[in-house]
Amino acid sequence: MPLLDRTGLKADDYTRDDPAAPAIIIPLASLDEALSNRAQGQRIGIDVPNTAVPYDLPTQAGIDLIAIAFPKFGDGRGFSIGHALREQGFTGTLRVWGALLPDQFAFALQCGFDEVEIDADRLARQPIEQWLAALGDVTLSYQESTDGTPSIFDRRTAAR
Amino acid sequence: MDAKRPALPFVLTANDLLSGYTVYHDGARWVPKLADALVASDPEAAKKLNDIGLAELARGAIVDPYLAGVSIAADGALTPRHFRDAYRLSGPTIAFAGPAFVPGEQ
Amino acid sequence: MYRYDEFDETIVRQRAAQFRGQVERRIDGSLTEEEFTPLRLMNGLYLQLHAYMLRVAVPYGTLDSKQLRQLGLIAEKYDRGYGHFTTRQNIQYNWPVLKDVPDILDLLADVEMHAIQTSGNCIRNVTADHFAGVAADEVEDPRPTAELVRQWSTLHPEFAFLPRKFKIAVTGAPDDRAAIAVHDIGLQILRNDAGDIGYRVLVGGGMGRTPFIGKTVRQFLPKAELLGYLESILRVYNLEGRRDNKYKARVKILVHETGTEEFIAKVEAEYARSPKPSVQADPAEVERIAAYFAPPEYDTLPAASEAFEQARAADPAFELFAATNLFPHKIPGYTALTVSMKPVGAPPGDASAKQMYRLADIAERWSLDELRITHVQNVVLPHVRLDDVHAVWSALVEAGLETPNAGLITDIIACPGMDYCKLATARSIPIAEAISTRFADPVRQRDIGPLGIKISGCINACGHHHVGAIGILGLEKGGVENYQITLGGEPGTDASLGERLGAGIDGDAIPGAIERIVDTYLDLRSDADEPFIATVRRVGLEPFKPALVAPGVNVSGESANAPA
Repeated sequence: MPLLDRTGLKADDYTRDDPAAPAIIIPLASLDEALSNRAQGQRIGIDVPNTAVPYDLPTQAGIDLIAIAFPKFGDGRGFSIGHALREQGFTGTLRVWGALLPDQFAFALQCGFDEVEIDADRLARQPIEQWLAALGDVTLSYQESTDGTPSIFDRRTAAR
Repeated sequence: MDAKRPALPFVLTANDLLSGYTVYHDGARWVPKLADALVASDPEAAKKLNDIGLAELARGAIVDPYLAGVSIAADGALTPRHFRDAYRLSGPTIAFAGPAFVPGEQ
Repeated sequence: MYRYDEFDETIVRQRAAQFRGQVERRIDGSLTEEEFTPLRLMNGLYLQLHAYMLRVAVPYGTLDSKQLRQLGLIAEKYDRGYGHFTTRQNIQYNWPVLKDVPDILDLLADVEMHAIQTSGNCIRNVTADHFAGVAADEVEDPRPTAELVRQWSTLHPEFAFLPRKFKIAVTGAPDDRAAIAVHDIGLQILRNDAGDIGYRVLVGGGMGRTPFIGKTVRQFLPKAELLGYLESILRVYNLEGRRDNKYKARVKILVHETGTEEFIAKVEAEYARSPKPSVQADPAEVERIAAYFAPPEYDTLPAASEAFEQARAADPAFELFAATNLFPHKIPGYTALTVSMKPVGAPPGDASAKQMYRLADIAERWSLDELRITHVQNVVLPHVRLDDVHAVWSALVEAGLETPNAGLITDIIACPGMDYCKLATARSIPIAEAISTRFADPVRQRDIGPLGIKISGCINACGHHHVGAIGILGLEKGGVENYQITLGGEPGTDASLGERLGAGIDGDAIPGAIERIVDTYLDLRSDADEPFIATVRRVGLEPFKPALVAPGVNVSGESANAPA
């Protein structure tokens, strides 16, 4: 499926199909097995449903990527999970996987996500130009982002 | 559409995307007046209206299409059977500050 | 009043432009209706029974004359010449067309207004006591807190797609005029024993299909901790609130199903775990916001006004108004004046463009340029000199806005109901009009005393019927509109939910039933000072049950008492 980040479309290094590939995404339940079979330099990501409790997820165990499912764009649990994972110190790649709208892209980045994996149909209807343009719609935020972009409150303090 | 098909006869109605106003389908296009609507009185016409509704929903120029039961008077005049559809046709049943609501002429 | 700085201004302008783009993408097919719906709702745009409806935010109900004039202009230019004040202290327009909405948003931005988060499954417009800064019993003005919460919640990236809508209300006074107990979060500003300012925090109140009174989750939250604590509540709700059934998705259901103690434990664990809130409002920033709400420049006046007293003595109509529509101001020589938007026999809460212009003029001249929209769908002129009340009243008479019924039986809350609303199961406004026509006599209303009738046209309870001393719920039964009556609801300090009196009745039977309920109360009250709600609480519902049925008529057909 197409993958994009704040700079545009990008190649997906990860695969869900071949457990021996250099970068794999596997279900959370298969994590122990994948870690014990891990080849030298292999990158491991996990697929996580948005019903997961973020504080129970393995954020320190050599995980390179966590993909949070967004089964419906109206279901915002993933935003809290992403935000909480960053708060817990997860420094790997955070991926949205599923039904995000371009109009939600900025929210996802603010909550700590790096990239978005969507299906080809959505990208056909909402091409990459719309995703990138959406990031420029609202350029300020009252809230701090997990990437350290200053909030309006920070800007006011700085200007004081 | 399919799930809440009323008893015959019925018409196909929706709200226009751009204006939001109530519209009815005459078999070829959306029209503002109930009097101009295509009335389905038999299963074949019912299926036709239902299919139009689904296709138009997918096309996206209207919002919330549904089939609304009507009564047909001896002179052919159409009256919604449910009070909600009657209010939807007549406009607000109460006086308000602005110009009056005239069905089909917003 | 709060004034936008460059950042507030930029956000609102950009949001308006963003919405323009979203409308264009809906029309060109990039967005399906299913995708567009939550985006337009988050910007206050509904598709109702006859047309689109745009709900404009009036944060904590505060407006100046320039803003109200702009609202009037929008009504004139893009609507059918009127607007409707809502129970969230907002205003909504019933007839805009989709392509005009971006232009309306630009006009709103010109006067520091917007439609952000007036609908959708996000944190809605924050409401507050409409007598903020006026009431003598206030511990602290709730508006700086409400403004801080407004900014924190605006386009919050984590909480824009919650399980369901989320409403927050703030009161700064022990006498709760903001109905905080029936909000998802209610905040009461108070002082602890050490004299520090903080909040009592209630969570899980609400109306709708399953009404609940909010539970106190913190007896005293230090003021500086507010936003962090709110984020913890919201995160627990966002992660754990039900998404399988929209009628069970509000936080009240989560609190109820989890159990209050367990819910508090979850929130406290989250709060202990979170390193910091996404908004760190330092004390200087809190002070900056609070400074906008510093008291206006009042004149030094004697507590009593001779001119006012003389006018009262001279004119019985003015006396009736003065006795009913004034609220004591903490500054000597001033009063807060309620402009009732409930004239007899008219839709509650509607205001024509002309009335908006007149109210703006009156506020500019006589109320230090300030107005408040109340959750009871009225307008308050918060700072009127007693010396000027007669002049204000005379101007209101000219505008047809002098109805002397604030807090009385014809000061009815009603949702738009099936005259406008797509979700309604029955009409509300005609019921309100019929009741107010029946009880039109202002002297009779005064004799009956404080009595809140609240009418909802469906189970979602936008008309607050659960907290009406008399609540009316419109439903469909057997293909006709049918109305259930509840008694004993109260939105304020000693909040309670009404109980159903009996089976539903026809709409045309409602005025008669209400009249018999009122007559029963007048018979039963211990004296003229015992208000309706107190009598109901003392005697219970039983004595009122016969009132549902007209003498000699069966439940379903009460033509003898049909409204004129």
